[in-house]
Amino acid sequence: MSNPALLILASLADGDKHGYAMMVDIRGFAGVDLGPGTLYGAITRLEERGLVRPMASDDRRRPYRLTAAGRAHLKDALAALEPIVRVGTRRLRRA
Amino acid sequence: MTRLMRLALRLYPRSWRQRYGAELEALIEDSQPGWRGAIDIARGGVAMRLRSAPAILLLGTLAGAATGSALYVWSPLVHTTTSIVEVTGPDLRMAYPELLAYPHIRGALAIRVDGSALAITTSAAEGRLARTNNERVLKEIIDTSNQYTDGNQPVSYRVTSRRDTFRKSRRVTTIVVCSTLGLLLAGSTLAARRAGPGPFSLLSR
Repeated sequence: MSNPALLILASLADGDKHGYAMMVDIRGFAGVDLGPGTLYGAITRLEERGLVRPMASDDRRRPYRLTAAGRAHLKDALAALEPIVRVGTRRLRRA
Repeated sequence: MTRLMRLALRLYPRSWRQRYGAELEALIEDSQPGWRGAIDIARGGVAMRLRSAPAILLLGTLAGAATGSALYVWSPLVHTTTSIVEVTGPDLRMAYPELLAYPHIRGALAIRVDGSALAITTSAAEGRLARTNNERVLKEIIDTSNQYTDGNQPVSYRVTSRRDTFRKSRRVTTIVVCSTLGLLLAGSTLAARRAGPGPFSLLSR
């Protein structure tokens, strides 16, 4: 899976993170190296859609938080993926 | 942060940099990305610029691309004939200045007068008339050369290295190349408006 937006939402699901923390987390759980441009492009769109919001920070490393809409979106996206994963896995076992 | 990264950051729109620039700079300092990271940043900057491109630019680009494509489809092929005509006669040096007066011969690629022989590399490119024009050039050469002979020894000629090519004119090709680039730009803009990096996202997989 390489959808940067979905990876960011999944990363923020267990707490607020700034850009670098997201990058490290995503590399850890998905094995995907998101480039800085890709990461911030996705953050920009997610913030515009109200799925994440920036937290107050004195540092340049501003953390982001998943909004209620973002949580619902992530839940829907994962639910849509679930049957694909289930069926695909079952068919691979048969083959 | 390297100079390359700073240059890549400049690709983002000013308004975007005011909001996210410091955060992105901090991320670059923390992650220390290499040249692939610089490409990723530059690609993101282009995507952000396309994303904020005005609709009139997008419409204009699409209209230009459509017009260019239509022009390419409907434009006729240009037929170019190139050949070398070797004319042999008693003395053709006197004929040379007059031959040069003919428009088709004046535009010849090369003219060589060697004693009694005259070699002219002709080229005619006027669409469907090219073949006819090349034959007209030949007739002009023969008729003019004959005027400078005594009539008992008419000139003889030999056509060699004839080559016929059919192609779209350079002007049309230029328009089509520009239109194709415009179409790519428009597609990228549309994709960036809808989802972000668009076609470029393939590179990040």
